Amino acid sequence: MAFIASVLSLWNNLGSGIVGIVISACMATLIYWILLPERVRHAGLLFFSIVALIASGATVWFILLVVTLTLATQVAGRQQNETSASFSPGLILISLIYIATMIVSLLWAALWIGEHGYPDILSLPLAWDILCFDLVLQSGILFLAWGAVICLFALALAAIEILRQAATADLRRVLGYFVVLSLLGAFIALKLQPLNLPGLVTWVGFSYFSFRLLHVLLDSFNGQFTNASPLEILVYALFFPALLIGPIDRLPRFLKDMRGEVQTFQWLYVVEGMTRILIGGVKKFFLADLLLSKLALGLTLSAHTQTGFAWVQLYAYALYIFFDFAGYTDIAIGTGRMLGVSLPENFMSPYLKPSITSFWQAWHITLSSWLRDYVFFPISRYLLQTRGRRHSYVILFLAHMTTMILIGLWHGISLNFVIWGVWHGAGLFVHKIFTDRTRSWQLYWQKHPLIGRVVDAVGVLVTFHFVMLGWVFFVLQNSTDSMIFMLRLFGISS
Amino acid sequence: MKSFLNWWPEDELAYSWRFIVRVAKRVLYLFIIFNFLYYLFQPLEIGRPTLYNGAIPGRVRMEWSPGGLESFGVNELRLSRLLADHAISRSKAENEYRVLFIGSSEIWGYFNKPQDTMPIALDRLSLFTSDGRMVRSYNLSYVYPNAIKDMLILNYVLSHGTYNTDLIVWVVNPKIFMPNLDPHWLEMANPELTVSMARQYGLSSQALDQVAAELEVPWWRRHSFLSERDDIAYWLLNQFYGLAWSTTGADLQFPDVMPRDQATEGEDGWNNQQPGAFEALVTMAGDHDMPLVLVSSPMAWEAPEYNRWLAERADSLGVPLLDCSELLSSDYFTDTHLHLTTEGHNLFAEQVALWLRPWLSISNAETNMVAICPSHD
Repeated sequence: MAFIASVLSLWNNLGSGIVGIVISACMATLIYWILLPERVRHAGLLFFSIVALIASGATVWFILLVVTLTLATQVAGRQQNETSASFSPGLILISLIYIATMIVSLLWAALWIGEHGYPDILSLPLAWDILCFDLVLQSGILFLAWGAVICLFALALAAIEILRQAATADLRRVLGYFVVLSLLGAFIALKLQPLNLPGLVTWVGFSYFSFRLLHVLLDSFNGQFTNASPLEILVYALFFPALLIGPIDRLPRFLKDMRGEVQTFQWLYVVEGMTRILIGGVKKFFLADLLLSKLALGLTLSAHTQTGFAWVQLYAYALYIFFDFAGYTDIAIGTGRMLGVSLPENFMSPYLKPSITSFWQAWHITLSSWLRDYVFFPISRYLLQTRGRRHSYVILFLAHMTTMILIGLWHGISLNFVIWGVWHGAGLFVHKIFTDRTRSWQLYWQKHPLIGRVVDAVGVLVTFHFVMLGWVFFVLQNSTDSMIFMLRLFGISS
Repeated sequence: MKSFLNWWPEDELAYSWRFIVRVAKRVLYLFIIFNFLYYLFQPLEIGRPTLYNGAIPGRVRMEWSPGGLESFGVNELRLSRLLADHAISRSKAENEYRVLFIGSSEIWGYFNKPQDTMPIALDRLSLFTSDGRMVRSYNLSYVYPNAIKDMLILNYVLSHGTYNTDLIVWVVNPKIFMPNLDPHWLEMANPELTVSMARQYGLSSQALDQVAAELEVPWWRRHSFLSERDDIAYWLLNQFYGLAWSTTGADLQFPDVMPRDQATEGEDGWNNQQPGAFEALVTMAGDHDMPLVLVSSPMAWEAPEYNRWLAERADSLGVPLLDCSELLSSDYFTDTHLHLTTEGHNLFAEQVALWLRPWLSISNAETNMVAICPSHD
């Protein structure tokens, strides 16, 4: 076991990227479920986690040693200047946070054992299994980032507990806003990347982590989840299969799986999970990568300026981003399935939807439903209550725009993502007006199914091309390039 | 058969080592059977499936994708696939007169766009035969000078009657006749064709022995699904790249500036060590009753001894020769003393067009062109 754990940890530490994480997930799942006899799973897993943590910790120490030596050399040689610095302050900061977290956790564990004696690990709930499993995987490639994230999580968890205990609603609200704003602040800071972190030290998974945590926090305002234990919330927030690219599960649904009988291991789960991972792998590593290799629109403009090629690039990108995203989601859902957790679906044939509204009900479903519940509904409800129904279209416009711009900014803080958000916000708003004004037409289409099908087909084509043109702002790095590309699409030379 | 297909029986869903071993064994058997079926039927050869010359236009020169350069093509090395994607595979029009160009990188168009090569420049001159057929040129050259490789391509084209060729133009340079200790990668990728051609025309060399050794490896290492996974991947990639090719007309992106290769060139490195290939290629064209003409490609250095030797050999074999070796000054060359600029290709095409007039009875070639290259008819 120690050997396998070391190999897994080494694999992750070598920076094998998302592929490494996925492979590790599959390998570790199989090792966990198949190789370990049931009676010793808990014990083996705990051991497994500790070995991986030590391996990761050793790597951190090694990096710190290199950084310290580099610093010492530079100071000694009086050659320190901005351009020659080969270390990052962010690296040191995050490494220190990580190590501090480890030391505090070990001290806490030692104190707990001193007081209560060694725990009967076989009687621990299943949540511990998954938590330990998380630690194994996240101690690899994510170990540097997760030190800081775990600290943030500890803060949020404390806040949730305080919220539950808070005597007055005002205190709850003040505390809640403080924590939510802290998380959002951290999120914005990370998206702006002020620390200029090196490649390995990326805040992988923080976006999804924050959304899950914010969901718990926001619902805690209303007194929900009072029966969820801190451990269950921790497992929910850190559930590794959905960490990198979603889907954004909800705590009530997750708890059903956690507490239900489905947690008893079944070979069928592994079969189903592996099948789903295989399908996802084909989408991502075959179709998406095939499209990306030479055809799909990239971050910068191609030297080939032909209109036809611009369309080829855009079609290829539209298919690429779907297969890439849906493929990763399949892998996440499959990995979750192997653990007996049925993560929600995130894509339901979005490019075959006849309107932009139904597109957003089928594309990245868990994100759009999250924002619908926590941004769109609250804004529109508040404005309707304060401004009245006379301004319903203005309210609708504002709610759509705010929601879609937020989705844009969630992907990255840049003008292009704002334009992308406005593009979709405007599309949703126009579609709503169109639907309201053409109710008699829709009744006619319902009575004449053939005409209805033709209208749907036209709707699919229009929606797909609307979404596809929007990707121009999504993928290209700056708005000037996006405009040049748009002109190129319509045969206008820049 | 029923129990074999029913490889996941319900009652064995429970975890057991025996079950896993059984599944693994059946997966292995199925994989072996699949590979054998693939070997028997060779799906990439059946009808040579391709989008080229159908949904997208065929390539105007052979695909070649060196590392380090951005390209909308792959290194498909099997001749059947290379030619299936090439414009030569489109059906011949009724009033078409097909001229095939074989040769090396200077005619392939190294450092040029596919449309800027001599055969395509010849096409742009809109030549007609005396009986009204339109002359269409096809660039079937391939990079790296090697006479055996040229023979291999020509042999494939001539032995498959579907290409309906009318005239062969072999563009030669001194390097073609230099000794090749190692076989060309096209030869290695097509060992059956190379070996049978070598046997038919009595060719032998150390390089050909290496190719013959390829035939000794077992079937599952040559034509199974396992061994041809790269070919399948390249085939699929190439279909995708066809979209980019059809909309840009680009296949390989050369850098704007390429340093001049200062390697020694000239007569020092040249000697005729592949005499058999020269004669064999002429014999091969004769065997198929196919007119063959020779063109000595422009060079940026003087090679009187080579020119004399070439003229004598062509004369003794009865093959017409156009000597364009001294046609262009060094300004018309790019990175080497053989690779031409676009303007060089255009001037070269004019000379070839003027020279082909007697063979084709060309009626309307540009009258303001002046023949410069000496010919040995």
